[in-house]
Amino acid sequence: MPEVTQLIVWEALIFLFALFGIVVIQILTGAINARGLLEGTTSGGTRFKSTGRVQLLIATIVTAVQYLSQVVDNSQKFPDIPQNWLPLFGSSQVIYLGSKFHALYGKDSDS
Amino acid sequence: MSNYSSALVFLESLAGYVICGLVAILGFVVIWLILTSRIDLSHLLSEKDGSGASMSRFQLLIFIFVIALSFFLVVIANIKILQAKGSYDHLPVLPDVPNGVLALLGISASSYAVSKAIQHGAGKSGNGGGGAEARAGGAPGGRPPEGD
Repeated sequence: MPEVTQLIVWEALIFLFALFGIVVIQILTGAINARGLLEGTTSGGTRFKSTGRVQLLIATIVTAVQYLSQVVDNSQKFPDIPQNWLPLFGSSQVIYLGSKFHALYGKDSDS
Repeated sequence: MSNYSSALVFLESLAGYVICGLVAILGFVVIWLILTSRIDLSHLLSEKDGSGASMSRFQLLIFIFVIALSFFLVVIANIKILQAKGSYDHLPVLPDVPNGVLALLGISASSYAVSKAIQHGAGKSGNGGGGAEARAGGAPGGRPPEGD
């Protein structure tokens, strides 16, 4: 008979990975609508490939992978985010928001 | 006294198994409802106005998974350390979340809010975003605008 702690560990692992797996599979198969994730919309309603979104996606994935690798390396305590990451990440967000603002309020020259 | 003590230990184990079982059933039901589409995740990443997937939502989704998995790994590592030591003098506590992580989540959530404000402002001034999308032929996938 397994100990309660082992049972809880397996239970949480199965739940987390099942949820993660379902979301990933549904995004890949299109069941979760991810259309237009990398596209911006201009004030005229036209769609364009947005570099602001692409760079934010890259920044997000890099940050997430780096943080997870830190946790896996030393999982005794929550690792803190390195101080130089936050300004970089903030800048990435500002670029994304700036490009969005420009697309919606600027001239419709992207079509 | 020893009988009383063993009874308490049994009760503690029983309570642990019962709670564990209840949480397992709850988790299984949630997963089952998602798999049978009774919990609909199809608009998990969609913008409110139906103008496609939202980058901010996607980012928040990734961060929530990363932080949840990290939190779980840290808690498990602490329990394993206590078990290896064989000392149960003090119970393991939930780990503190560092300020940097909170700041990261705060930046992400603020960006989402500002993004919505920009979209809302553009819609009010009749200058684009979802309004333009609607005028150009409706939302992708035919989804009508709906609330979050």
